[in-house]
Amino acid sequence: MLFYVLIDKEEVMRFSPVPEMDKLSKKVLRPGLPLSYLQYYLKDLISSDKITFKKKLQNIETSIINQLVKGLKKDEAIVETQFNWQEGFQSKIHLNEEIFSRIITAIQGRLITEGELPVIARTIGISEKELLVILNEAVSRGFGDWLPAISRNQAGWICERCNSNNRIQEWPSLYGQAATCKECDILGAQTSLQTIFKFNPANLHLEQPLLLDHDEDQLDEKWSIQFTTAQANAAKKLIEYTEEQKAREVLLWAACGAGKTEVSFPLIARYLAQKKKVLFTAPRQDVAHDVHPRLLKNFPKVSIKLMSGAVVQEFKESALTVSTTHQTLKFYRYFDLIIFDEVDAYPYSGSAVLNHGLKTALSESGQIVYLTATPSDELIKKASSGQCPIIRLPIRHHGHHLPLPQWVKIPLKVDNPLKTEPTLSGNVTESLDTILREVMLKGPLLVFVPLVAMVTEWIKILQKMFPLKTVDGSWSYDPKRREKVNSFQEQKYDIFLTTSILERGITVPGVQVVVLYADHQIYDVRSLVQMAGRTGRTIDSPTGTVIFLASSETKSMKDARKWIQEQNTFAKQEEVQNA
Amino acid sequence: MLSQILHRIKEGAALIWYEQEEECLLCSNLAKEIICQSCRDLYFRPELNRCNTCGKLIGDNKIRCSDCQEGKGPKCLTRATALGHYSGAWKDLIQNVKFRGQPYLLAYLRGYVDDWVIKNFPPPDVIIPVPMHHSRIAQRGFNQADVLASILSGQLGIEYQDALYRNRATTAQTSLGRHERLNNVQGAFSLKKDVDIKGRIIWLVDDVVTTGTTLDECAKALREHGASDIYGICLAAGIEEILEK
Repeated sequence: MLFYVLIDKEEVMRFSPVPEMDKLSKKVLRPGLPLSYLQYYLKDLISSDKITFKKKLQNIETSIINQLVKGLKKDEAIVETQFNWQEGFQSKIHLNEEIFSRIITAIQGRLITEGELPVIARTIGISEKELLVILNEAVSRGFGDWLPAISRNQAGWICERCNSNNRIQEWPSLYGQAATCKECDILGAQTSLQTIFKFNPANLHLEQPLLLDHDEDQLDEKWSIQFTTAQANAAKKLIEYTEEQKAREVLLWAACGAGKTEVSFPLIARYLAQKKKVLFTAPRQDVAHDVHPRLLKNFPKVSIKLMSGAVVQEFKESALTVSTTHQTLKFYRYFDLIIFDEVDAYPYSGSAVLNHGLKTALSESGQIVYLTATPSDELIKKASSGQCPIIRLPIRHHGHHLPLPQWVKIPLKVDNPLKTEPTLSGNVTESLDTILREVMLKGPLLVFVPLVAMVTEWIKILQKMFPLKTVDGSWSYDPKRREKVNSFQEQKYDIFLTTSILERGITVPGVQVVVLYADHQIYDVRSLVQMAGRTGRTIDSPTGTVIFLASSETKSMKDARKWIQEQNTFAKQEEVQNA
Repeated sequence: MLSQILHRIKEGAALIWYEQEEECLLCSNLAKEIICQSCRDLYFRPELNRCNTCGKLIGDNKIRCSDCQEGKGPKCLTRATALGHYSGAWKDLIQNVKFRGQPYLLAYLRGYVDDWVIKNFPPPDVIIPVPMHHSRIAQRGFNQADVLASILSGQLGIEYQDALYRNRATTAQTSLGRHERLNNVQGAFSLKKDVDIKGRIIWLVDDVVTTGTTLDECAKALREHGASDIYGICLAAGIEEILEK
């Protein structure tokens, strides 16, 4: 998008994408330039508040042109540098206030990229130009700001969406060097030639719609699952810490299959009843898509919006938003409460970009509740130092304990990073056959392998070993992933092979877990605990077998056993107390 | 001892192999070339012929597509060809280049795309990109055809000239039917001043070809100024309808 330099009657300079619609402009400079270049080249002329000149310049108009020409020349731009001042326009278009407030409501709290403008315009039913005029008007009323998608400063480039400067790709453009941010390009790559509109919540207080008709006295009786005593206690504590004590961050550490998601529902209801905006987010798409229908069922009267890379974007206001964590980059200081599920999962864990997204999506007084079965060391440290209250939910919803993984020593080794086809000696094949055959008597088998390429190889091996069984598998970019996973959940396969993508969130009745190459460096304690947690999740088959097959026992394997044991001990204590 | 040494050698060999592997630009799987064999089979469709006139993908028993056979195709182009079918991940890549600000992605095709063109067409005197209207370049910051032409020129050491000029901004060809396309671009191109192409062989470069109308309009302007042979080169083309079913 190109911006034009405007000077109004009070000798104040502004940048506008729609100069012909600007009521107050006295003079307009043409042609336009991308905003990042205008801001960079003219930074010496303007003071920090961006619009008034540092000193009374003798000849502002010439100075501006000189600065631009000088800058472009220095950058070896090949664009025409014949700038001309033209008389400003008197706008004949009157803004329809009703449409204006409708649109502002629809884009509340959002950070809008240039690529999203046509989509928004189409959804609302206006032209892109009209939308630009409205957004520009919002900027002049103080409801938002225009920013370059990638800003330029002395030190280089910085992405205004993800705040990152370490994966910026430069390329030669018409205006000299331009930049694209590769760190957040999964949401649609942005360049330094583009602009973003950032909503500014400070000056706007719109009336919230009626969100929820909720009877606060019957909290634990309205949900789709019957709360156990442990769940009800955890839900109560969550409200106590979050709503009453106003903790900025709360950690709910639950056993795999304890029903931690539902535990957050009463809190969500309380916040919605107060017309606060709530986001339920998880790093993985599978989890977000799984939670969405559960929220719909439990909050039938609430407008709930799902946002992920897999669904078409809607621009409508909603009280409750469910999204992947990547989508938080599309918000700016908006949510009062964020429920963050599976906080330790890839790709959030260790991602500075997603951390930035989460922090900026939160309103200034906003709160975060972390839900996890395997908290990171950092979170545990925070909790133990008292920075963040912790709630433990060690008992599974059916009251049974977590199955403890067994390590079976078997000489299984990845000997070559490229060779995925394993060479199995007769002995190994034989013991594998015995072990798997025995486990399979108890239910369908979920087999984890450390590398994507191993999935297909092991499908072949196991199919050969068990010709009468149905064997299949899936991996992260398998186009039929969702379909196959659904079939596995409907128990259409006897053996299902996968990588860590299915280590979380999935429930398959009666499933037994085998981890091949459990000593592989790719598995940390958290993924091993999560994989073990796939067993015994339903009330009809609350127990199960977990087997780690490996030639040696790593620290992660030992720790995983220790974590599960601890969780079970904790559960016993809790049971005694509750009884 | 011996087994240990052998193991070391094996490890070393694995490392060397490992370094040679790279990620396929289209599917991110490990591959020996920038585009892996299965993506090439899937999107480049080496089993299909290219229409000799407009570059469209056609059956292996044909030389021209039905439209060109009926005389509806380009008149001024000598020949045209396309690297792949405008579909799937290949289409995504081209769209990422054009609409999502990632022209540098084309640089990954260096060494691959020039290799392919030189096998198909006689070497030219000059490589010329299909121009973009200045208002569109001002927004996008680059012309993808220009980037591609510069890559070919740099790789093959053949002269590059931004010789053509787009007189007017046209509607995107993709949104139009065959007949409208012709009207849309008719007379839209002219040769820049002081450019001499008399008797020269030209490679005319664009990103996508559908009916060949744009290439042909450019070729017309070049022919009028005495160009001898004009070969149209594109990254992607459509596929003949009968084949699609």
